[in-house]
Amino acid sequence: MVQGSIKLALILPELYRGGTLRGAKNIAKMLMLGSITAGVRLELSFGHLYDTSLYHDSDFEDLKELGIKVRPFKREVISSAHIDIVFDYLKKTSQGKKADTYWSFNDGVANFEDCDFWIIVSDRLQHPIPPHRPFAVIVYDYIQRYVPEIFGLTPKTDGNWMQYDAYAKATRGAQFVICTTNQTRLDCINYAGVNHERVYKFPMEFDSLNIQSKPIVKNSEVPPYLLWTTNSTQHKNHINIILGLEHYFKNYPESEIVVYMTGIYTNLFTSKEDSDKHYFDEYPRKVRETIASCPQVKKRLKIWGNLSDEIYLDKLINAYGILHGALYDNGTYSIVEGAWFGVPSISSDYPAIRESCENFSLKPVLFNPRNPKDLAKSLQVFVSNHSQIIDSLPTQERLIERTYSKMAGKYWDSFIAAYEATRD
Amino acid sequence: MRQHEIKTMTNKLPVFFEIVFLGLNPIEHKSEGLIVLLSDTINALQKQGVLVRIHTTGRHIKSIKRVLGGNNVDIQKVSFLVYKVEAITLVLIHFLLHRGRSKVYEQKSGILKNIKNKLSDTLRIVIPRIFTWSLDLSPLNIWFKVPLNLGLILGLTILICILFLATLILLFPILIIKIGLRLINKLQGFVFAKRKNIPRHLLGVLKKTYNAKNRLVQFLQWQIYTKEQIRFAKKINANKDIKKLFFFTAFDGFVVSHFKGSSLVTLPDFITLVYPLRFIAAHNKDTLEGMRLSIKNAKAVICYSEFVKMEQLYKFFPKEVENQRVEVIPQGYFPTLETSNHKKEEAGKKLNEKRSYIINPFTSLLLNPPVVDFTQFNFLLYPTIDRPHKNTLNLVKAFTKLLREYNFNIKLVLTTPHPSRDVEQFILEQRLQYDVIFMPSVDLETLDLLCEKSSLVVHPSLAEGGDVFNFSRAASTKTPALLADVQVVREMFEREGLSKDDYDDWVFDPIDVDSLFEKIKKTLLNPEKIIENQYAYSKKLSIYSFDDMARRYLKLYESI
Repeated sequence: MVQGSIKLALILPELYRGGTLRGAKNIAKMLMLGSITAGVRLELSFGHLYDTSLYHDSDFEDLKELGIKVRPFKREVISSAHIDIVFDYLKKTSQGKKADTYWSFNDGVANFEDCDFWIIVSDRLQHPIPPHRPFAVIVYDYIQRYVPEIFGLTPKTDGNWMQYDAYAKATRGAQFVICTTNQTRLDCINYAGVNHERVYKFPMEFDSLNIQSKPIVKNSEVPPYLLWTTNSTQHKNHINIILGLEHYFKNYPESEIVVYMTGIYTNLFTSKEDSDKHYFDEYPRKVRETIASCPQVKKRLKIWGNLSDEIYLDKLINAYGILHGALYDNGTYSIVEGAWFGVPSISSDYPAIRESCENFSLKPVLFNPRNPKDLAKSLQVFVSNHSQIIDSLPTQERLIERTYSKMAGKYWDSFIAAYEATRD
Repeated sequence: MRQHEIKTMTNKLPVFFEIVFLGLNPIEHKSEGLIVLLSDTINALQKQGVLVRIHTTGRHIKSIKRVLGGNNVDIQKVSFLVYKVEAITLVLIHFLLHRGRSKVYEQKSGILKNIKNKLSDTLRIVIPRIFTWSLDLSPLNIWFKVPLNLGLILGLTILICILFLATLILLFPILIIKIGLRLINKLQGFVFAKRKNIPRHLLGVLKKTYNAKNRLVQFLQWQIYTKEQIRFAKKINANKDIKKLFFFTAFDGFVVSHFKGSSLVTLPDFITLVYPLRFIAAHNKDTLEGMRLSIKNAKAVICYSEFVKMEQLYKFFPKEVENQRVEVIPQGYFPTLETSNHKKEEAGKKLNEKRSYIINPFTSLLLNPPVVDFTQFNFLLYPTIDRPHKNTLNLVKAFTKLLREYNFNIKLVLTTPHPSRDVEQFILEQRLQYDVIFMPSVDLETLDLLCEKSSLVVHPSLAEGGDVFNFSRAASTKTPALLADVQVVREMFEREGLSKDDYDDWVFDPIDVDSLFEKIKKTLLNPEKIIENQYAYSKKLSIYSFDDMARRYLKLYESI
């Protein structure tokens, strides 16, 4: 076991906001709180890309309050010719770990070399980590294994796949890989080719938004609406969902339900021309065409685009239900957040969602995401049994048990177990 | 060895403390820590009646005299043996490249800049003179000046036309290449399955070629330097009287391995191996081989601290050091001085006379170096030559907070000749060019004045080979000092009996800007207690002086 003290760095090599940033911050908090409980002196650095337009000091105040050092850095690509000289000479590098270039995270101080171990969030490593640095990677999902369309299926998009291969190579160089679902763990092993002894499933926490301080004030005057939490990428399965909704509205014209879509870049699905360069991309165009061809949906679907956390929570509290329709991913916090406020969910059925449901004792109405008629059928079940479904939601007391502060001990134990087991 | 014994020996025959002073490039800055320490060692040895002789080459001698002289070494009392073995090629390469230790500090040669300046000075004077002369018409000269002026106008017109045409001719191929590349770029979308950007690839190739050229030059430099070292060792071997040599760095391993006598080698630190990602361009096999040979072939090795011995030497060169005699000899301390508030005010006035040391590293924002009056502001001082492990950026960040968020009337004075790239970018971004003052290569008198006048000396460096000079330099003049809480600093304090509680207020976490800021703020607002404690401790430290350190060197030197 780790004795005395340990220095860790949690590094976000890409510009992230939203869920990934919150998730990374939660991991940092869990490690810090967990180490305190375990009586280990942890010096934790949180590294993020230097970008004053995206990040502000206030974004990281909560980390600083816990004694975590926040270190902005500039990413640099370094030639292996420079760095390999040292470690070849000292005979400390194995051939298998070498590459032409490496990434260095220049914080202007120590480039995180003062830390014993790095944790990288997530696996989008365009260049490998220098071979003398031990590190772990947090992998969320390999959506492209199941939905290859997101990387493109034409010769033009082969570059995306090559890029993915670079990510996978970098991931394989890690001391160990951290996942939060069994499904992603299996994907790491069987898709990315990571040694199975080095892939660990860590506990899944829930505290993605500051919901505990949010009072539940419902507005009964608003019409019943489904809050469709999504984003603009293809694995979110918009076309099937729109077709399913159209089926439902046609079969049940008396239904008062409307649908509000929210999420990053979802404004690309509106018919209003947008200056964003993605507007002309094939997929948003197809979604817009599908909406245009579905008169009922056109009438009852409103697209809000990305909402601030505050407004999102207001919309969530008053929703009739949450609609989650992805084909595949690592699960979603939105159905758990809904449960916190007593809002039930209707969700597509795939392994990570089933795991999430088990973890958080949720019982959403599930549907086959590739079959629009099944969505329509399930939605009718959802509407007919709405009050029973609400009654089956877990209590807040039960959900609190899964928040980051409560999960910190377990998270730290998992980390130390993996760290010790994979030390060279 | 006791002083009277040395004197006895020197009476019999001149026994020298033989120092080797080489290096890939001649030392540029007299304020390099190693040079300061070497100078103090030489002075202390001479005080004890020991004769010091420096062995070097023709390409190093000038800079050696300059940097030692700049550190108060009486050059007249030092013997020099200059061997004509220098590699002329290295002189040329150094002259052309003028490279620093790391890419971050790489500087271009000043030759082109000088030529450009001289040319523009000449033109600035000559052109107006010709112009006024030709316009100065009178009945006496009109008969020849008018045709001459017409001829000049015609000549200039023709010249401009020729230049215009020449530019067009030169630009044309570039234009064609650019259009061609653009066409290729367009075509590749249809022809190639992969959307690769050919111009970008071409740029990549060019960049690689440039890097390869740099590395090739570096490789050649070191290969030539190796040959120079071997020639140098052979020359020394020819003198049978020279049986021992002292090396103040570990880079001259080929001399150590080829010298037939006994070598005493100092290993300051292995910082480039501790932070390899901070010293990307500094790595090369020959430097490492030089260090390895030094450790392996020396009769004894000196480290300045247990930290370097245990955490660096044994870690990076375990085999070479296995049966080696390694001695830790800490650096000496400065004697405490009697000082007062009046003296500090006087120091400010004296510093105003030293303002010519201030340089302007930000020529895009400042026409001239900032104008300052040292009696009118407080300042933080970091005497160092900025290197990637010196952590200057965090100090500048903490200083910025002090200035901008808390509106202290304060500046930051750095004695580095140039900011590192990170620091430079930060200063430019934050427009701190008037408040971060650069005073490089100051003489010892000015450095003492800076220490005395400054409100606080801060040393945020992540690592040092030995004790931090800046601490005793500051504390001895009743200026508070804050140091990074790193192992070598803890060793310095704890060696002399302090506990963590005693020095906790004097150290800060070097990674954490907030910790540094808080400590600076706290010390600036309430300096009295720290000054009192540090001065008392400094008095205690000064019992072990540079003379004592030199005595230990000498004892070890005699024993090998």
